[in-house]
Amino acid sequence: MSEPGEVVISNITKAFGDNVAVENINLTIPDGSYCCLLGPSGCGKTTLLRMIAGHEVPTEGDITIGGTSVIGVPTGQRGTSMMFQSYALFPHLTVLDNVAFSLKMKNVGKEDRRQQAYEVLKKVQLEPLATRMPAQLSGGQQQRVALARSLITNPKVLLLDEPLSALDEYLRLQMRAEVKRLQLDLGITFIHVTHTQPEALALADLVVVMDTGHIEQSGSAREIYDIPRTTYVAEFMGGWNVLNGKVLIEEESYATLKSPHGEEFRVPNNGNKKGQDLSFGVRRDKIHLLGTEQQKDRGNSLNGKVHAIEYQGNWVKVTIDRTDTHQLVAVIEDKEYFTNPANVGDQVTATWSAEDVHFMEKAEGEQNLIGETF
Amino acid sequence: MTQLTDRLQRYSTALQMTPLGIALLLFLIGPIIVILITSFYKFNGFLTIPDVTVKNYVKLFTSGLTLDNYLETIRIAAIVWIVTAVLGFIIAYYLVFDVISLRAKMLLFLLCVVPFWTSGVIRMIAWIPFLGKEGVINRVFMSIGIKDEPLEFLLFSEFAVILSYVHVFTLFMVAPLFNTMARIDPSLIEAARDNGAKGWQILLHVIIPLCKPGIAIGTIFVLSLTLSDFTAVRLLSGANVGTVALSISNQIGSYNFAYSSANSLFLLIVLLLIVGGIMRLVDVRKQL
Repeated sequence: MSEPGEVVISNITKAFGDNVAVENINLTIPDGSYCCLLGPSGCGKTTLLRMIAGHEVPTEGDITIGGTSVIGVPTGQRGTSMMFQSYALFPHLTVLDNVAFSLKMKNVGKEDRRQQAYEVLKKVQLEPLATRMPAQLSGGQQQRVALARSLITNPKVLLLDEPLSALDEYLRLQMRAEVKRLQLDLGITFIHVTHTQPEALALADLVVVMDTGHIEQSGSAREIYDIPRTTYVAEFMGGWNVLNGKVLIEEESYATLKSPHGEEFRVPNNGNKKGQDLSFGVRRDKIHLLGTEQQKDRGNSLNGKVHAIEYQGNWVKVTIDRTDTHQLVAVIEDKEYFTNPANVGDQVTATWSAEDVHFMEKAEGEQNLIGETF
Repeated sequence: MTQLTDRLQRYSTALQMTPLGIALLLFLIGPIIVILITSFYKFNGFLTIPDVTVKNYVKLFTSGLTLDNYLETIRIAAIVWIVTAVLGFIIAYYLVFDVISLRAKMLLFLLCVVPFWTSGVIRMIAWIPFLGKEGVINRVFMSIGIKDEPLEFLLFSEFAVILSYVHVFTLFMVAPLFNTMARIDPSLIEAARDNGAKGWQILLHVIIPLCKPGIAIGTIFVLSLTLSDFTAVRLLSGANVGTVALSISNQIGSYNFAYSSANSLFLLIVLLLIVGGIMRLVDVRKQL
């Protein structure tokens, strides 16, 4: 017997004509967890969410919620509730009647449903606006109404389609914290679609990174960020420098790689063969500049011209041109950086240690990257 | 130079409104004033003589025929309104929600406009060979044995008038309804479904309320067209129907301009009251 809010997706494929939006996806989302489907636009994350909600019918495969298959079960009877990106509030109904809409559909009496809607509005601190029309509300308020309208149906699984993307930066951070608190309070499963990496990292117990219809990696936020399985995940999540090269020399515990641009990298040897092509990453914050406080050469060094410097308070982001088209990004603690600050155009040497090298699989096919974090 | 541009700027709104203002004054306000003045003139049986008399209005409000005409007109308008609203809603719904390809949508919409390529009068006359005693419908009915006698009510009857109105005016209901319906955010329908609404509940609680401005504008079109038309009544009613517009036309035909002016003004006021009432009920501005 599985838990009521457990969502199991088995071999799900969705094709629109010849266009395959989601291909053979398998995923188990535990009851009461906060799951983020993360990926660039067009990766199939919204289609997957809509299939769970019942707004799209899968071409193949099965979805179960609480152990029962929901394929063929009408939307609204699956124990799910969806919060739309545009909020989709009924413009002709007051806030209170918007929230009470699902009760009206169940023929709950007017007084009774308004009473219940009022209680839910209190939960999201909107009871003073009960008689307003949606057009009279701010974006943040509209979102709370949408949330209240979803919660009144007592869902086992709440589906959120880019819920924070329409808000301005300040409100987004505030709502992010609020949504997370709400999920902890309610203890139900949240499935949240987003293309914003920090949002997924901050919120999710389970992050699912998607690309062109399939899952690249799923796991805890820390796993995704710290142990990316593929170069795609590392580049999409940001915070990494992704490098590659062919094995040139093998020693006992180290190997030397040669990049296509002629640079040499010292990496741990884990039984690689000579000539093998390897991809690896180094976290931006593990890279230091020679000439600063941390003088020592860490075994790997790379020369380049400073392309850009961004001061961010407690750290500084330095972008270095490795070649004409490839860059290396170092994120350096402010104190360390200011012992010998660089200028744009300066020649600098970046250095890192072989222990900070993390091997990963080269992502297959075309990569579809947008944005970066940090 | 700068002074001139400054001055032009200051009056630019007024200047931009001038052409429309002149057109409205010449072709709308002017004629209404002429009609207003004429309605106080006197008619001696042969000539309309300038005068200031309320005789025309007294006659209008005391004549039993006025009430009969208005009742008949309003009854026909109401039936036409209901039929065009239902038909218009179904057609617009089909075009917006059931036809997926945009090209097919535009093609079908253009198809709705095809009847407008011929004049309204011809479209009305075209019903005669269809509905007549020896017309297409009666012949088909008799040849396949549904009826032994030709149906008399088809032509030269109220039915024929209403049928031709529905035929000609339904598009005026379809167009604004299509416009409002196409603006309904599809996620609203999904949200309704998500909240457990069944098909008919979505229709009743989401689509119809959101179509109100379209229905209102369509209603204004259809009612004003129906109330002001007399050709269909003249051509297809066979003198079985008497409407206000027809009586005005008859009065003009007998050169009684004074009385017909009074009659016209009263019809205009009735129409404005109806339009005003609709505007009060529905916020039409949402549509504009």
